[in-house]
This record gives sequence, C-alpha cells and structure tokens, in this order.
Amino acid sequence: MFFIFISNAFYSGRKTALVLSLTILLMSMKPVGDAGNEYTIKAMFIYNFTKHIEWNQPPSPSFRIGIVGNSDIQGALELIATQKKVGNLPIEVIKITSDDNSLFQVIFVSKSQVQKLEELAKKYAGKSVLIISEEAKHSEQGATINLITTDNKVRFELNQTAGKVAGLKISSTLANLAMTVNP
Amino acid sequence: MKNNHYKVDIEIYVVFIVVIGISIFNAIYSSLNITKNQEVNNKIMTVDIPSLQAMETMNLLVTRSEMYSTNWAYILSNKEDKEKLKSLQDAEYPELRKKIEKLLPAWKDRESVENMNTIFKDFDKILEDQKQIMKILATFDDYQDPMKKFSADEIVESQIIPKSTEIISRLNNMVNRKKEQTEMLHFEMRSSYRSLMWSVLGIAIMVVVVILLAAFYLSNNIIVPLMKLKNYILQMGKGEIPEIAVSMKRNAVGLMTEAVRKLAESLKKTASFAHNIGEGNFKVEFQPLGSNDELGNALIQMRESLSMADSENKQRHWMASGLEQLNSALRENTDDLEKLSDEIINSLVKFLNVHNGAMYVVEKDHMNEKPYIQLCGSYAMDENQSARKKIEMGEGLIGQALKNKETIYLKDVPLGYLSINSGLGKASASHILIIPLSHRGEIYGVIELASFRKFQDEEIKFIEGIGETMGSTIAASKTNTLTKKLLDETRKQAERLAAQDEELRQTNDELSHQSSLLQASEEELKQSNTELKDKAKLVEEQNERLGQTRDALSIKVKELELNSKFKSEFLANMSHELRTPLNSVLILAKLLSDNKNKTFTEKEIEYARVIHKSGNDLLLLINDVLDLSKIEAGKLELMLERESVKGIKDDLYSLFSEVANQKKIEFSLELHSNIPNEIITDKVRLEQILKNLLSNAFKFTSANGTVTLKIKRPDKSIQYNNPAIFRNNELIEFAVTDSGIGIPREKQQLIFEAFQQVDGSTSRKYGGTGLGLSISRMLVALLGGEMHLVSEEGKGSTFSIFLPVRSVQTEIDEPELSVIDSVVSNTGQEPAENDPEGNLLATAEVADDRETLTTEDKIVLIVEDDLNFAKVLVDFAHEKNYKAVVATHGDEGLLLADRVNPSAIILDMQLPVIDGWSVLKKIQENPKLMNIPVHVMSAMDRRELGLEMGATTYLRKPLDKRDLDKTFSDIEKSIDADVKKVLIVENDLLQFEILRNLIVSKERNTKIFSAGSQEEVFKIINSESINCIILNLDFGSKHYNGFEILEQLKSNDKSSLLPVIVYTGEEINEEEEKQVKKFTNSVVQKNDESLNRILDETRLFLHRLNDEKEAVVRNQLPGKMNELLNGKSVLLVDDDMRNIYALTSALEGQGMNVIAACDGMDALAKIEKHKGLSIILMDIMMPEMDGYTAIQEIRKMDGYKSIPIIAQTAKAMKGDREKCIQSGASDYISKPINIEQLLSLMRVWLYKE
Repeated sequence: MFFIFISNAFYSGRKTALVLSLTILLMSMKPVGDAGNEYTIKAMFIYNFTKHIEWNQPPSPSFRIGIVGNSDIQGALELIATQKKVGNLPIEVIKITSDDNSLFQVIFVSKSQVQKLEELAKKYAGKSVLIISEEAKHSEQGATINLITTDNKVRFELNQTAGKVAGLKISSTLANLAMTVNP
Repeated sequence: MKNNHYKVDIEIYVVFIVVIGISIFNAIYSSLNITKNQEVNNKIMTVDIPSLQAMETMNLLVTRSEMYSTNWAYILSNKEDKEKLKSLQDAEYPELRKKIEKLLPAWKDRESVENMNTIFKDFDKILEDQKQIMKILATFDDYQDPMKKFSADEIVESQIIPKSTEIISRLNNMVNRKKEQTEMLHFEMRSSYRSLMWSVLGIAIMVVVVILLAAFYLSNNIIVPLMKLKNYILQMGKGEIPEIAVSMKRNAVGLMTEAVRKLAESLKKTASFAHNIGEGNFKVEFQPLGSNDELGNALIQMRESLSMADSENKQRHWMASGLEQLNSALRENTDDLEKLSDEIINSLVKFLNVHNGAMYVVEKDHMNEKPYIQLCGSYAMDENQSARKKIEMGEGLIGQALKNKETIYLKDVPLGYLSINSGLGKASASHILIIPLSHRGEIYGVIELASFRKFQDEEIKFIEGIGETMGSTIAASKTNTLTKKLLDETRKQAERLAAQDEELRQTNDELSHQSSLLQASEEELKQSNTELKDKAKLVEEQNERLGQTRDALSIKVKELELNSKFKSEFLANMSHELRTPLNSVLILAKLLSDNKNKTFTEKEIEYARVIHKSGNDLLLLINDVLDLSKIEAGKLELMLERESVKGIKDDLYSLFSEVANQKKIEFSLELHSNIPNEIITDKVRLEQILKNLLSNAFKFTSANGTVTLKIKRPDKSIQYNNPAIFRNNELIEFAVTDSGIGIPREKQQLIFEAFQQVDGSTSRKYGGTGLGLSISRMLVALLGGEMHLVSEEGKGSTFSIFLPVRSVQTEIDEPELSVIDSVVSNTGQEPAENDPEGNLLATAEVADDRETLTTEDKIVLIVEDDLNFAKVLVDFAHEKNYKAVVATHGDEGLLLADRVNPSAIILDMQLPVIDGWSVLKKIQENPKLMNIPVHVMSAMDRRELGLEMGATTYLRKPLDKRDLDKTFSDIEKSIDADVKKVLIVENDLLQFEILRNLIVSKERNTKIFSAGSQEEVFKIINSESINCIILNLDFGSKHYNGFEILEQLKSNDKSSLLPVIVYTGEEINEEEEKQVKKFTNSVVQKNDESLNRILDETRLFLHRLNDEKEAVVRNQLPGKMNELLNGKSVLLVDDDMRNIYALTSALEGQGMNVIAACDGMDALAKIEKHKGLSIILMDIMMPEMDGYTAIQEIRKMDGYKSIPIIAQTAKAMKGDREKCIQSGASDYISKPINIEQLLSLMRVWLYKE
C-alpha cells in the first residue's frame, strides 16, 4: 500500500511535552544577535521543516539528523531532541564523519564544509535525505534547503528540483514560506 | 352516675384523640417531606441545570476557540473566524466566566469548584497563547514569514490543541459527574415522593380502620345495650315487666341496665303484694323499700283500711242476715202479732244465741191514750215466773225503758232474779238487756233478752237497729269514700314511673348526639384526604417542571449536533480548496511522466509518476473527506443494482492479489456455496467498503501473514446492534480477517470515528487518514447493514459486514423493485445476445409505425414497458406528426434505436432485461446513437444522475400533458436547431480526435472542422460560417504560430467577433497570459480536467450564439430597451479573469463602459476612483473581501445607497438569494451566467433608474 503522509496539524493527537518553549521562538522574533541565537533559530527551522516534508525511506527506529562539520547547531538540535519527536520517532543528532555510510533523514552542512555539498548530494541522491546548507545559491550544488540570514533574519531558500532528486516530498506550505523556490 | 358518664366520654375522646393524632402526624410528616423535596428541586433548577448548561457552553467555547485559533494559524483569509475569535475572547468568554463564577458558591462539591477554577486558569493561558498567535500572524506578510508561521504553528500544536483537548476532556468529566449527581438527586426526589405517597395512603387506611373499630365498639357496647334498655323501659311504660338479665358489663351502660333491672324487680314485688291484698289476704308481710317508698307505704295503708272495712262489713252482713232472718220471720207472720213476736223473739234469741227472751209491744190504750206494754212473745219463759203480762208506762225497768226510749243493759244480775230452767236444771241469767224498738222517734216495742254471757255491743246495736233500716247504709257510704281516696294514691305512683321513663329517653338522645359527633370527625378525615390529593397534584406539577428542564437539555444537544454539522461543512469546503491546486499537480505530473520531450531520465520519470501517484492518493483522501461529509449531511445517493457476488469477489482478487504478492502475504478468498448468486446492492460502495477493509488488513499485516475474505451466510448466533433491521431480511456476511497487529480492546470503538487511529502516530508508520473505517461504517449503515469487529491485540482482526441481500433505498418504492426482481429472475441472461434480432423486432406489443417508416419521417423511439403509457405516447407522437416505434424491453430499445435512427428517444428507467440506466449508458457509448436526445420519464427520483449520464431531460412520473408538450417541443427544437460549426486548430491527430468526440458527444448538431496550419484556418473561416474556434497554443508547433493566428483573427472582419478558446499544455507566464487575453475570452491549461473545461467553454459559446441571435430579434422591437445599456458604466467585480473577459466582451458589445475589479477591496477602490457608475455586477465568492461584505461596504458609501447591485454566485443554494438581498444586493443571478438573462436583468434595473 502507498503511505499517505501528511502533517496532520488539525487533528494531531500528539501531546508532546511542552516545548523548547515559546520563549525561544519569541526571542527569534527579534533580530539575530549572537551566533548562538542564530543557531537556535536555525535548529527550530529544521525541526519545523520535518513537519512539511515526507521521507520515502525504510522504517527506522529514530529520526537521524546528521551534521557535517563543527557547528553550534549541534547543541541547539540536541536541545530540541530532548524535548521533541518527529512523528513518533525520537530525534538523534549525529556528527557525520567522512566514512559514515549510514542513512540520515536530514543532513546539515555547516558553512565550513560547503565544499562537500556536491559529493554528499550525489552520495545520497534518491535516498530521500534532506540536505540543508547555510548559504545562498548552494542549492545548485545539491542542497534542497539553504538557511540564510538576511537583514538579521533567518529565512530559507527551497530548491524543489534538488528535493525531487533527493527523493523528498515537500509540501506547498514550505514553498510558500520560502524566499525563492526553484522549480 | 357522674362517674359512669365520664367513662363513656373517655372512650369517645380516646378514639378522637387517636384519629386526630394520626392526622396531625401525617400532615407534619408530609409537609416536611415536601419542603425537603422542594429544596432539592430548587437546587436543581437554580444551580445544577444552569451550571450544566454553562459548562456545556464552556465546552463549546473551548472547542470553537481551538478551531478558530487553528484556522487563524493555518488559513490566511478567514476573516469571519478571526472576528469570531476576537469576540469570543473579549465578550463571550468573560460573560460565560462571570456566569459560572456566580454559580460556583452554590456548588457543594469543593473538588469541582477547584477544577473549574483550574480550567479557567488554563483557559486563560490558552487565550494568552491565542493572543500570541493573533499578534504574530497579524498581517498578510506575517503568513509569509517562516519564523512567525513556525512560531504560530508551534503554539497551536504544542499548546493550544493539547491544552484545549485536556480542558475539554476535563469539562466533559465534570459535566458527566454533574449530570450523574443531578440524575441522582432526581432519583432521590422521585423515590421520596413515592414513599410519601405510600405512607400517606397507609395512614389514611389506618385512620379508617381505627374509626371503624371505634364505631363497632361503640355500637356493640353502648348503642345496642341502650336500644335494649329503651325497649325495656318502653315495655315498662306499657305496664309489662320484662325479664332482664344481670349485666356483666362494668361500664356505664352495664350500671344503667342494672338499675333498670332492680327497678323491674321491685315493681314485681310491689305487684305481687297488691295482688295478695286484692285476694283479701291482709296478713301478708310487706316490707316497704324505705321510709320514702311512697308506693309501698300507700299499699300498707290501703291494706289496713281494707281490713277495717272488711270487719265492719262482716258485722253488717251479720246484721243483715239477722235482719233477713227477722224479716223472713216477720214476713211469715204478719198477721199474728204474738206469733210474730214469738217468731221475732225466737229468731232473735236463736240469732243472738241467748237463752231467754221476751218481747213486749207497746200498746196504746185507746181511752186515755196511755201506752202500755204488753208481753207478746217469749222464749223459754216460765209461766210461773213473775213475768207480767201487762206493764204500765214507767212501771219497772221495762216501763222505764219505754218511757226514756232508752236501752237498759243490766249486768251481773243477782241470782235468783231470773232463772232459766229446763227439765233437768235451772240457772240464773246473769245479763239482762232491755231495748226499746222505735221507728221515726216512736217506740213500738221493747225486747228483753237474758243470757248467761255478756251482750256484745253490736248485738245491742243490731237490736237497736231492728226498726231502723237506715243505719247500715250510712256505714256503707263511709267505706265508699275511703276507697276513693286510696285510688288517688295509686294514680300518683303511676305518674312518677312515667317521669323516670322520660329521663331514660333523655339519656338515649345524648348518646345519639355523640354518634353524630363521630360522624363529624369522619367528615374531617375526608377533608384531610382531599388535602392529601392536593399535595399529590403539587408533586405532579413539579414533575412537569422537571420535564421542561429535560426539554431544555435536549435543545442543547441539538445545538451541539448543529455544531458538528458546521464542522462537516468546513471540511467539505477545505476539500474543495485542496482539489484546485491538486489538479495542476496531477496534470503536470502526468505530463512529466509522459516525457514527451524525452528529456528526462528514467529516474525523473519515476519521480513524476510518484508525484502523480501521491497526488492521486491525496485526491482519494479528499474524496474520502467529501464522502464523509456527504454521508454526514445525508446527501449520498445509492445506486442499487443486481450484482453478482462472484463478480465482486473477482474484482477484489484482481485488485489485491498483486499487493499480496508484493508483501508476501497469503491472500485467500472464500465464497461459501450457500449464499445467493446475486445480491441487490450498490456495487461501487460495497467495493469501496471491502477495499478499505482489505487494504487496512494488508497494511497492518506483515510478511508471511494471511489475509482472508470470506463471503458467507452469517452465523445465527450473531448479536446485531439493531436486530429490527435484520429480523426479516436475508443477510450476507463479508468477513475480512488478517493476522496483523490487531486492535486493543479500548480502541476498538475509537477507530470507527472520523480522524481516529489506534495510535495518533500510526500515520507515520502505516499511513492513512483514519477516515476509511468511519466512511465504511456509514456506508454499511446506508446499505442497511452493520459492521462488526473482533480483534485481539497482536493476533489480528476480523472486520465483518452484514448486509441485507436486498438493500433498499428509502426513496425507491417497493413495488418497482419487485417488478425488476421478477422479470430478471425469469429471463436470467440478456436475451438480446441470444435472440435473433428479427424475432425481437418483429413483435410489436403496441401498435406502432415500424412497418411504415420512410427516410423522411421524424421518428420517436419509445422505450416503455407500461403498455398503456406507451400507447398514450404513440398517440401523442402522432398528434405532433411524428412516427413512433415502441420497445418494451431495454435490449429491444437499443436494437431499434440502432435500426430506425430516431430523432429522439423517450426512455423509461425500470425496464425488463436491461434497465434504462444501462440503455442510456450504451446509447452514450455508441457514437452512432450518442447524438440522439434521450428524454427520460421515470418514477425514480434520480434526476441528477440521469442528466449526468447524458439524458437530455429527466421527468418524473406521473406526468401531465404539459410535460409531454414540453418534451415534444424540446424534440422539435433539437431537430430544427442549426448545425453549429466548430473549428479545431490542432496538429496532434490524437488530440484532435479526442476533442472532436468529446464535443460531438455532448453537442448534437455540431460539425467539427480541423485545421493544422495558419492557411487552413483562414481558408475554413472564409468558406464556412464557423461559430467557435478551439486553438492549441503550443509554442513548439512547427506548423503555425498561435499568437499570429490570434492576431490575424482579431484583425479579420469576419472573425474578429468569433469566440476563441485557447488551450495550452505549457505554462505561460503572466506576460504571455496578458497577451493571449487580449484576443480571447478563454484560456485553458491542459490537464485532466481541461477537456471538460474546453467542452464547457465551447458549449457556453455555442449556446450564447443562439441566445444572442434571439436577443437580436427581440431587441429589434423596443429600440429604447436596447439603448438602456448603451454608454452606461458598469463595475464588474469578479476574481476569475475568465469571467471578467467573457462578461466584458458581452457588455462592451452592448456599448457599455466596463470597469473591472478583482475583489471586494479593489471594487471599493474603483468606486472611489470612477464616479458615474450606473450598475455593479458583484461576484460573491472572492478572496480578501467577499461579495457580501463588499455590498455592505458599498451601501455605506455616500451616493451608493440605491445603485443597482446584481450579485452572482456559483452556489445555487436555497438561502443564497436571501443572503444576497439581506446584505444589500438589488438582485441575484446564479452561475453559470446566461448572458441574455443578465442583460435583461440589467435593463430592468437600469430602466428603473
């Protein structure tokens, strides 16, 4: 059977623990100040992306977010992982080493490791992995989403073509929220 | 006596006191009870029910706030809900809270009060969260900012929904608890009333019993003895003396009886005494009862007097007898004096018993008149004795006696003075008596008597009275007077007895008075009984009030139902919203996967297929949601037909065998032999249910598991929820069994509810919306069956559906169904395939014209199994100059249609062999026949479906003449209608064929022309009067340039007004779109729906053509009417650009100046900018600001209070018109818009101006 996988915002029965709280989110309404704050917001974005994306992967015991390179986002994501789940899967935040061939749902490529983007995109093409980079235009190198900071605000670009190549189903909500959407 | 009276009183008093005491106790008991119940009832009325209502309102409010805030976060343009959310926060909630807080102090349950306060606190927090969302997502831009959007989503998901859900569940718990408590109070009250009623009844019975006992006692012990006594006394009054038994009773009546008895006894003694006296027995002893016993003493006195009189009597009697002796002696010897004297003296001596006597008689000497005495008689007198014969007066004693006229008695006479002798002896007499005999003072004689004994006085008197007869009479008269006096005494005694009798009667009266008092107390009891009845009435009234309260509660329940209906409507709307974008997704994906340009890799094609498939799945989901809302709204129609069970089984097998293979699941289908071959059901729906159950089974079963579908007769032991439905029906069971994960017991009910799954997270792993089961269950119910579930967690589940072998739709009449049944079962298979054609057609059951047909004839084919109606139709056809051919079977109808090529077909739906539906379907599938208009006349109410399936008209039996007239005039029109010519500009031959078939199938009398190049296009346009052009604007085409054709068409005089429908498979950008729209009214993008769109547009233009022609004819008459529109400004408000262009060209054709606006806001701006508008056309369904609001806003503007506004909407709903007029529209027109209708409507309004 085909799995219909919709973020059921209206009727979700989930009663997850009270969040990472609103305070962080509200803080995020302010301009991005220091780097720590910026990564808290980016982590939050990544978490929110998961609600609007469907992965076509074999079932796995956890929702794996891989991080390439050293980044403050790791701490921020780990904090989210303690309080949130994706669906009913616990979130696992893993720093990826170059010889790691295991499967991830999300791979975050830090600024310093941008050069690995293309290689990663090839490696995970069709495996339904969401690759997120941090700078504009890197989507051409295979990232589906680019988290960018403009005017002290975090926004994102969405490359739907890259998403298709990656084997992801991305909801129109996300497309509506994105700054630019490549067909 | 006084003591005894007291005793009687006490007895009566005791009875009264007991009765009164019971009554008072009863009154106090019942009034206490009723007061208590009233208090309870008051509490229910003033606290419990308002609290319940308030809590339920609160519950609703929380649900709504959740919905509104969710909508706020997810739906950008839902202004109405946003307003509602604000008013809910600012007005509704504070008001409700105030109301509940007012009630809180009256709650006794501290826990509930605390709960309520916590709920308030929590809800306050939710409100804060909501305000946060409202603040974050305030403007349109905010919805575009991911940060804000994510924040709002997060708040909704992690705060508002869980919190609201929790509050709702807490509120529900409280409401349930409160309801239970109230129910308990009601129950207690009712039972207390009941026990009160019984106790009152018991007491009343007790009182009656006490009174009866008292009455019995009184009558037995007082009244009966008294009556007896009264009888005794009456007897005694009559002089009888009754025998009275000694009374053993020690009470007053007993004593009274004793007294009467003693009285009777003493009366008896007195009577016997009097009796003795009467007998002359004066010696009898009699003791009077006392010195005061008047009767006794009088009797004694009487006895003494009587005894004295008696002795006197005796003396007199003696005297009388002596006299009589003397008289008899005298009578015998009247003549001889001596003898007489002798005789006298003899009898006197003998009578007096003396011894010697002599009688001297006074003789008178005649000479000297000197009397003397002469001895006349003697007794025992001695001759020798010195007794003188003659004695002178005064001489001796005798003479002296004579002289003195006195008696002389000599006592103790000396011896020898006189001797009395006999032969033997002699003795001296000792006593001598000398008595003169006088009469009237004269002495007649003297008598001398001698005796040895003394003379008695009476003897002396007797002798003295011999001559005087009068003396005895004087003594008798003296005795008489004495007797009279005694009689008087006796009468007095009798009177006294009568007085005593009177006294007894008085006592009697007193007793009867007391008995009447008893009666009065009985009356009082009756009164208290009626009072009790009054109280019972009061209880009834209270019950009635309770009933009213219950009614109020049921109204609340209805409101809740309404609320859920709103939810369904909302869902239906959402689904439509979702469909629109999905359409393009599907089409694009399909195009991509077709890989026309061969630019994609295998993988990319696969992606496109995946997108298409996912899109399809989403479409399925949306269809599910629609189905659900349709079922919930009761709008789903069933298509009941005779279906083969095996066919259903085979369908399912072919659908799922592949899945089973892929998942390595063993899939088996069992068809038991004892089931009917065919059932009447809606196959599509039944398969939908079974597919859902099977796909669930496969979904939840892992590899190497089993899935089984069994079709069988249900076990007799099955318990149905609604046994009534199944009692009289033959049933069939479809059971889907899997060996999957199973369903925990507590969730088994839940999964049938919409949007529910065993685990909220199930969707992540297994997918699915949770709608399938609830839809299935509803469909099963719609088919008249039930769905049952048996499952054990970890071991698998069995879903069984039980359906009647013949499902029945309520609208369809029973007899119609049975007609089909019998015919079908008789003929079995379709004889059309077996029977030679000729056979069928040769037999005309109704006289028709099949033998006399010529090619010039206008022919109507009548397919109708009701022979009478068929005859009517034949006659009617003749009347209208048609030839008619009648078929009574569906298959015959099809054959005849093919054979005679009729101008029109009149078709019944319920036909033998092949029913009308199939005939209609086959006609539509046959290219030769599909242009023939089919007019359905059926008793079934399935108009929508009929038209959908291609019927030209659908009339419901019974029909009247007007209907038939109209049908034939429709037929006339369809025959006479002009042939319309459509030019299709398309290179792709396949595409052209598809379009041509499509248009020809729907538009009869249409001729299609094809052009593949620019030259061809204009050649055809010049030679033929084309009505409409369909142009494929594919830029890739090597043969023509779409834009050039368009431009040329516009500049060509002949074609400048031709409607052009442009369709394209490529995305065109805004610039290009603008360019295209300069030339055309209609642009259609290629997708699944696009063919239908093209068809719709074509039909629109073709028909408008007709209408406009008519309009021209009409407009030639009143020229003034035509000019009404000329030069007027019209504001056209519509968000659909196609509409704007279509209407603009139509209106500009009328010489109108058209100003367009794309939504309400834009319209307001345009009104500000362009003064001098004459009329406004307003679409209702628009983004940003809808038509209703826009109209209201326009009406608020100065100078636009009376401008004609014509509202237009696609929703031809009942209430729409009223809603439009209410919001200020002048008139209303529904989409799709008939241009001519719109124009005349506008003329009407402008003419009014």
